[in-house]
Amino acid sequence: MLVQRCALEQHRIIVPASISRPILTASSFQISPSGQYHYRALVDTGAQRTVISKTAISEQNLVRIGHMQFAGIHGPQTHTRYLCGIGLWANRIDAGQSYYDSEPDTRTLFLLEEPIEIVDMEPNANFDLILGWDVLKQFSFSFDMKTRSFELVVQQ
Amino acid sequence: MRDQLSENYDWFLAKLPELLASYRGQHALIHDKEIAGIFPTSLDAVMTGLKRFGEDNFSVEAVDDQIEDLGFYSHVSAALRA
Repeated sequence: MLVQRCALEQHRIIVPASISRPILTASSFQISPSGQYHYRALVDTGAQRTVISKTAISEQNLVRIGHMQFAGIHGPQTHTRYLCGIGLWANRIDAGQSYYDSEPDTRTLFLLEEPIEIVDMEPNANFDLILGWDVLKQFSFSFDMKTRSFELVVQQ
Repeated sequence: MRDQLSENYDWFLAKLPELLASYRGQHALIHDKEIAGIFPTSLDAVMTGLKRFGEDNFSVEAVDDQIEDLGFYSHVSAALRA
């Protein structure tokens, strides 16, 4: 089982993620890891779609594909849409083993099979992307009130 | 000079009311301010666009008038830009 677990960071859930440019093959897109780059991803269950900073988009040379309108505090805003491969870093846990027994430096990168369409945002110092429901709906996740930790099961 | 994606988008917004009548919920592949195809999924349209026209020479827009909510970013994007 692959599990990502993290503590709250200033009342926010931040998980390590990978961003990459999908490669077009004859009949589909191939998602490959882009080096060992770790991006900071804010988990936001209020977001319908994933948003990535312009800096990270430029670093990974993502493919521009169109536009999207979203609700902003001052009314609708138009942003550019890009095609993106997303991966999440997680620890492998064997049957009967607890998360805390797993080696922290043996993280595995789990790549989503299909590319997703993301929109751009202005860079900020706290995180590089916001994971919305387009990604989150593919996983089970929970928050443990006692340990104040967030757990995302990447792969059973 | 404006690029193909921006010009296509302006053209698409002007045509949207007309397109909604026939293609609501589908995805328009646009090249040189003309519809090059209508697809059930955006990914199908993007794949066709990349093969036929190459990167930055087409755009794919959702034929829809729904506005999405980006949660945290929807509410603080102005503050992040500041």
